[in-house]
Amino acid sequence: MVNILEQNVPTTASVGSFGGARTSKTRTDNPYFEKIIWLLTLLRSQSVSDYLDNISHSMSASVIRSLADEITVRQDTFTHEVDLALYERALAFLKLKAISTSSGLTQATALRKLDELKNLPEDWDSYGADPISPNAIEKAKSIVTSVMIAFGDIIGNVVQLTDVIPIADGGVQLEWVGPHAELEIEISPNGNIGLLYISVSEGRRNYEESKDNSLNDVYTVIAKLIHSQYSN
Amino acid sequence: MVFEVRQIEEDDELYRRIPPNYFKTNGTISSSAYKLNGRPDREISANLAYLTTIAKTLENRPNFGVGSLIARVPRSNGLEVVHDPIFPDNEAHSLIKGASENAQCSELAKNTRILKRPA
Repeated sequence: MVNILEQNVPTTASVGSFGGARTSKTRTDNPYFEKIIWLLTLLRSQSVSDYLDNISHSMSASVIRSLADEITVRQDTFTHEVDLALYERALAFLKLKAISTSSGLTQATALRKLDELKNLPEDWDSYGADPISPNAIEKAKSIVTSVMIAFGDIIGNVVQLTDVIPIADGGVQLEWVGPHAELEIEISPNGNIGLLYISVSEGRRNYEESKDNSLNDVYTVIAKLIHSQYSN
Repeated sequence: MVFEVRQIEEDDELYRRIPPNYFKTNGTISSSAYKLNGRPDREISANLAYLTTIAKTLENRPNFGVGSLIARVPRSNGLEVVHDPIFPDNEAHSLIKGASENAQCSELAKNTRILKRPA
């Protein structure tokens, strides 16, 4: 089993961004980033300030500020690759290429479904399941909210949160679907995050699993899910 | 008095009782249906279809669903499928043994055919 964290994908992320600059030497080793870099090369004709002006109507002020701050810091470090704003523009572009027409769960619906899990009694699965841990529910709500803020309209267009599933040990599972991949986020009763990324290639399902992840790891794998539309 | 232990063939069908919460919005089931305590269930209970019925598999949980797996599926994912009758209650009881990775649970869920949806 391949650990997601061992792959050469960005390992840092913050609100409004997930393309960590510190992995720039290894990013181009990864085919899916090669495709993004190819796309961004086409987009380089637009200046950063023009780009920020253009997207300001669709992104929150905090995200714009975050972008602007990071661009200032990183503009000198992206000598061989792309800057963060162009990366974000690629995501906006990907939204237009959305394959799925389903919008999945809205944030409000997902949070309501998570709250409803509090009502599950002991042995709700007939195999001896525990009640769902309030800690797991709160952590799951935090993840849903953070991802939806960070990725904005891309969630619902390119990638959907489709299901909120209880786990028999009192944890919670969030199921996400992208164009050519799926993601299961497991939150244990004590709040630990497990990730199972399922990609489909030539009719075969490939699994990448990792345990004890951070919120930044979640951002990274959601980004990978978004870019799965280029995998087939 | 005990039940005869049968050899489960590749094409034999297995029934699995599935709680309503494991049914996804697209009509399939979550991999959680094959986990125990949040981890892959190393001994997944199922019923050998030709020795039971959907109603018997539901036991006293009429609002649950029932899914079907062909024995070849777990075996092709490295799992063992054995008949494990429980005398005198359930002659059909069988076990899918050895699951240790979430990927195996996901494969089982993906290949489960839904026979009865939750009421």
